[in-house]
Order: sequence, then structure tokens, then C-alpha cells
Amino acid sequence: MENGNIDEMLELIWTEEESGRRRVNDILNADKSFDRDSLEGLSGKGYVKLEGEDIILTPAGRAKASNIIRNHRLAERLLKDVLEVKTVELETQACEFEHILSSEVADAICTLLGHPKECPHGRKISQGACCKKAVKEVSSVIVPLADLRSSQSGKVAYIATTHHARLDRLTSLGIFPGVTIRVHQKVPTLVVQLDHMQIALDKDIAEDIFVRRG
Amino acid sequence: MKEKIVLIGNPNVGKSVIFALLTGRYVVVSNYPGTTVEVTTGKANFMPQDSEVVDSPGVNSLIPQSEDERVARDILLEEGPKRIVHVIDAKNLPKSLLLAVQIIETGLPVTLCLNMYDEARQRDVSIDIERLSEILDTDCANTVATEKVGIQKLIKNIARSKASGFRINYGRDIEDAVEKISSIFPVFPISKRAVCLMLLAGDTGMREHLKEKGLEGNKLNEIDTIVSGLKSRAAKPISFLINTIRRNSINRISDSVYRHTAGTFQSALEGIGRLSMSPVFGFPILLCVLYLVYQFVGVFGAGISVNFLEERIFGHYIVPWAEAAIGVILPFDIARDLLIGQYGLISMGLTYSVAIILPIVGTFFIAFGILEDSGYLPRLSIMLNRIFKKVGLNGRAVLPMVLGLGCDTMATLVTRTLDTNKERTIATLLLALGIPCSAQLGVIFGMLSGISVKGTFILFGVIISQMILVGYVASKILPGERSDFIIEIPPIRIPKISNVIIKTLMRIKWFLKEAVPLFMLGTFILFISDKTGILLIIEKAASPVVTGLLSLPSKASEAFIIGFLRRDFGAAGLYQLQRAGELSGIQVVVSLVVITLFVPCIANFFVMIKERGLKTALAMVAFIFPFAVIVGAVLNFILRGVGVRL
Repeated sequence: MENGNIDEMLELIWTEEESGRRRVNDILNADKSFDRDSLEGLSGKGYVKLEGEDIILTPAGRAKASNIIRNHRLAERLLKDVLEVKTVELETQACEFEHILSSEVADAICTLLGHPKECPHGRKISQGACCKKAVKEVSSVIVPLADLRSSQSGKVAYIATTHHARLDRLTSLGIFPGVTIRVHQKVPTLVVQLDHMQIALDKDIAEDIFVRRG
Repeated sequence: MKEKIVLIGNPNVGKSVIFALLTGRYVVVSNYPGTTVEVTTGKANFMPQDSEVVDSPGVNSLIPQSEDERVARDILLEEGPKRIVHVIDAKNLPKSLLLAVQIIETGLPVTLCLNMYDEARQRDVSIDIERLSEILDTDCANTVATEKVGIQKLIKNIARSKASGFRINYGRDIEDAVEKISSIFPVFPISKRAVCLMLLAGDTGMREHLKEKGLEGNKLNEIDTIVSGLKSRAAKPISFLINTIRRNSINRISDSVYRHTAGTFQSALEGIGRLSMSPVFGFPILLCVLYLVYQFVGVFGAGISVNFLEERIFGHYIVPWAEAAIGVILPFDIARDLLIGQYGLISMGLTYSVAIILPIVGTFFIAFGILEDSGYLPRLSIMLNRIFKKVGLNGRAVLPMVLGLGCDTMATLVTRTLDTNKERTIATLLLALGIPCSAQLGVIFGMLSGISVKGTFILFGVIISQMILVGYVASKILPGERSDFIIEIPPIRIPKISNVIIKTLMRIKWFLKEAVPLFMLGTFILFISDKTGILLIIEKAASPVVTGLLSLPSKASEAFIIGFLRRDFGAAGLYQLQRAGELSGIQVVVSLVVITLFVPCIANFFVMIKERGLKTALAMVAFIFPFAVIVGAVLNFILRGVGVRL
């Protein structure tokens, strides 16, 4: 079995699991190019365990899959936020990236992007060594709004919250991707300027608003 | 049915000024059914047919997140012919466009009013109005409402307003769902498309409206299935997707009609606004504001006005006259006592509420109105947000807390503007526990002036630290969440005196209607307790605590019992003791700590029951009562142990 194929299969099993599906049939239905034999092969390599009708990632498989998914989603963020590639082309491009990124390069990209928490489609990006250490040696292009200094400004790239009411409130105040925000002051409370309007907000909300440094 | 012209717009865009220009002198302010939200209506003189203008509360979106927003949305959903005027702060046009497209989607006749056009011009904002009106397929008028500029054009536009043909395409998935859902329910006062989009965006209130329209359960279920089907296919909440598409469309519109150079505008007022929330100057400015309010409310209101009313008007005229008149008319002692005795309705109840409390509360409401209209209060929230977060609240709770310094009862009503139940409960508790109302503060300052400055620091140090302690513990114990702190900060403006006066009069009217009868009731209960000897019994029962634990003269227990009815009644009783030379410095501080932390006045207690329920209100009182005594006892012990001289 080719390495690429293993990667694709682990990736599929991971994303299906994210959606709460772990039955062998679900996997086979999701991608017709795989059959039961290829899953058996994967099991032979020690990446998965077949338990009845369920397929479970082993610790080794989980680590490998997590890495691939992380590369894929980081690539998507890079393409979308920095290189501004159109959404339709994201998927195919990211698929090629995921196999060639070494973990050092992935961490560098992750740092550059300000350790993003989710991909453009809203799926979770798992933490790499760089996020855990939160090293910021490479100055990030995309940073949380809370990290800007007073009188610095940035263009909102994305808002990483699935907190419904918070998103709606931010949107209705005019804070959404594409608008430019300037930090007016940080103490005693963060105040930002947006067009001709000043908005005060808590730091933990500003942690979720990612901006491209302007 | 009368045609309604509904003014709608974001907060702070000058809707009420536009409203005043469109209507005559006679307007009706009323609560929207089932809410505390005020809606103003007036006759539209300029329309040929009989129409009325409705001023709705300020909103940021038609998907309601607060009671205000729900009311505004519900006004649009009412039956009957309507025309919408969307009032926009011209300098912040891009932000208002979100609401504009939502309004346009309702399919109601609409016209736009780009107000405060002068502020926009000062800030080098230019708007291509013709192009905007072309894109949105609706008339736009630029106005400066405060100077009556552009109103004629607006009136002409309202009269000929029509539904707009502007439409946003939300992509196949959402559009399909919209089409499917529209076929399920019958006609509605606003377009089906708008209703569907609100349903998809997760507006549960909309579902209730459909139910009220008589839509059967199985059809509602059908709608739910379509909504949840769409939800399961999307990675992000649908409201976010809809908003994303809307704002992409809005970005395109504002790119083509709106030009501005950000951050070049400087003015003295803006400078003051900036300084008042800066970490360096913010607190000194806060102290200045406090000092000015103290001078106005404490010195002018509680000192000069009260002296004049109490000593001159009541002391020299009303009470002696009443005594003379009643002495002639009523031969019975008991009836005379009821009116003019020690606890008489006229000598105590009326004198107290009209001569002492009214001027203090009245001047406080004027000061509060000025602070409110100047735009200072949101800046105060910013300064105090951090400390409020320690007690499970956030900067938004500054408003009820500051109002509590005027009247705790009114402030407890205002706690419903807070977002979560937890915050409302904590705010209610802290108001009842430690925020002295203006009447009580007046008496407290009077007493403190008689002892050393150290006493002032000890008193407020103890009160503030106890409030923080109790708030902190409550925030850990009570279940639930603190809400997000996101507020818009309006520019600093010079308040319009007429507006402040109208607001003050409305608040005083409320005070007379709600609070004065309770003072009377309180006085009456005191009178009965006195006559039946109950007062004496309670005094005896309480005196071991008062004389033993707190080392106060036994007469002070009377003050505490009266404090049950009004905290400031109680403080006034202590004041009399002090003037009679019966309280030492330590005794003054200890008694003030106890009476300040003491249970709230009877009016406040009723409002607590109304707002939080009987159980919660009783639990709070059951906690506060012993807590106040214990803190007083500990303080007494420490002060005497250390041997402080006050």
C-alpha cells in the first residue's frame, strides 16, 4: 500500500469520526475508492483496530492522522488568509500540501498564522508543539486582536468562535471579516475603533477575533 | 386601520429628534405590552390620511438579542399598513447597512434617513447618496435633525415610499430552504422571505409568532425539519452564514458609495471622551465627576434645598398649620397622632418624602440625566469593568449600580437590562446590601462631618470591601454565566437641557407614584406598632444585640427597627442621637456600617420580590440581616481593641 493512500484513509477516518461516524460501512460509503481490504491493510500496519462493525484509530494511527489533518487545515488557512486563494480551490491545493509539509515547516506556518484554532470551514486544528510552547519567534501575520498594541490596526481575517450569541452581537456591531479595526486603548478595558465608532469589549472576546496585521 | 410610520434604527442615531420633528405636540409614551420598553407614538401631521408615527427602541439587528430588539421587531410584525423610516448615523453608514438590508427584506415600504450629516462631513465622510438609493432601490434623504435640515425632503420621501426590489442571493442551500419553508405557512404582515430567513437564523421567537397565527403543529415540525436539515449540513451556525453573505454584499455597497479618512477628526469633546477612559486620566476624571455630583446632589440638593423645604416650608408653615387645623377639626387624640404625632402621616410621612427625599432624589435624577446624555456613563463602564468582573458582573452593571446611588428601588427594576439571570441576581443583592441611596447618603455625610476624616475612610472601606467580598462569593456560588461585555461608546455630546428635564420629570413622576405611597404605608405601620406597644417589645428584644455586640445606646435599636422600613429613616434616627451627643465617633461609624449594610427599604423589598421572586428575595434578606450585624460587631471589636480615636 502506498504512503499517500494510507494518509488519505487515515484522514477520512478522522473526519468521519469528527462527525460522529465510526462504522466501517460509513467509511466505505464516504469514499468508494477504498474497500474492506484496504482497511484490513491499515489494520495490519497497526494504525486502526476493527472492532465488529466499528473502526477505531490506534494511538499510533491517531497521532499520524492528527498530523496530516493539522497540515491540511493549516495549509487551508495559509492559502486563504495570506495568499487569498479562492475558497473553491482550497481543497485541492491543501490536499497536495498536507503530504509535503515537515513538522518544522508546519509549526512555522502555524506560528506565522498566529496558531489558528480552526480551519476556514470551522473544523478544529489540533495543537502542535509550537502552540503548546506558544513561541512567537517568527512574527505572526495573523494574530488575535488582543495581541495588537495600542494604535496598531488590522483587518479582521476570521472570528474563531462558535458561540452563537457572541458572533451575532459582533456582527451586528459591524465586526466581521474584511473590516479594519484599530486598537484605541488596552487598559483598563480594550477599546477598538471601527470606522467612526468606538467599541469596548472584553479581552477574552478579542482573543477570538483574528486579524491580519495592517 | 390607521397607517403607522415606524422609525427604526441603531441606538444613538437621533431617532427621537426626528420623531419630534415629524409629530405634533401631543405624544404618548407607553410601555410596549408585556415589557418595560417604552414606545412613543404621535400624530403624523404631514400625511394626507390619518397616520401615526411610532418611535421604536434602538436596535442593531432584527434578530432580537434583547427586550428592546424584540419590541422593535414585534412592531414590524403587527397587522395593518406600515411605512418604515430607517434612521442612520451617516458617519457610520456601513454598520447601519446590515439593519437596512434586513428591513428591506421585510418587503415593507421603506425610506432611508442619513442623519447627523454634519458630523459625517466634519469627519471627511462622503456618501454617494444617489448611487446608494439606486442600489438599494429606495429613497435616501440626508438630514441634520437638530438643525431641522433636510426634514422636508424626508417627509416627501416618506409619503412616496414603496417596497424595495433590492435582493440578496444567499446561495442555493439557503434559498432552497427559504422556498420550501415559504410554501408551508400562510401570509404574514412582513414578507415570507424575511420570516424564513429569521427562522433559519435561529430566531425562536419567530416560531411563536407563526404558532399564534394558527399554524398547526405538524407544519411547524415540517419547518423545524427543514431548518435542522440545513443546520446539519453547515459547519458554522446558519445565522453566521447568512450574516457573512449579507455583509459581503454590504461591503460591496459601502465600497462603492462610502468614502472616509479614518481617525483624522479631532475636537475638544472627542479629547475629553478619550481622556475620560484613559488609564492615567480616567480615574481623576471619575473623581472630578463624583465631586461635582456630590456638590450638586449632596450640597445643593440635600443641604440647601432640604433645609429650605423642611425647615421653612414644612417646619414653619405646613406642619404648624396642619397642627392648628387638625387640632380644631379632630377632637380625638389618636386621630391627631395619626396625622401629626411623632409617627404622623403628615409630620413624618409627608414631611419626609416630600421635604427631604424629593429634593435629593430630584437633584440626583437631573445629574444622572446629564451624565446619561453626555455619553459619560459608557466610559465609566470601561473604567470599572475590571472590578465589576471580580464580582461576577461586567461594566454594563455600572448603570443600575450608579442609579442605585439615587434610588435602590428604581435601580433594582433596571437590573433587568442585564443579560443573564446570574448577573441580575448579583446586582440585586449588591444593591440591597451596600449601595446607599441618595437620601441615606445625605444623612450619612451629615453625620460623618461631625467626626474625624478617618471615620469616612473606615466606613466606605468596610462597605466597599464587604460588597466585593459578597459579590465575589456570590459569583462563585451562583450557577450560570457572566455575559459578554461588548458595548458601543457614543461620542461625548453636550446634553440637551430640554431632554434632561423631560427625563427627570418622568422619573420624579414615577418616584411620586411608586415610592411615596410606600413611605406612607411605612409610617402607618410604625404608628400602629408604636400605639400597640409592639415597637417597645421589639426594641427590648433587640437591645442585647445593640448594646452588647455593637456597644450602642439602647435608643439606637429604634433607629434600626425604623431602618426596616426605610434605611434613611433609620439613618436619620441615628443622626438625631448624634446631635443629642449620645454617640461617640466609634459608635457613629459602627452604627452607620450596620444601617448601610442593613436590609433594603420596604419599597425596594417589594420590587425585589417582583423581579426575583419571593424565595430569592427572602433568602437575600435572611442573609443580609445577620451579616450587617456581624460586620458591625467585628468592626466594633477591632476599633475598640486597637483603640482608634475618631
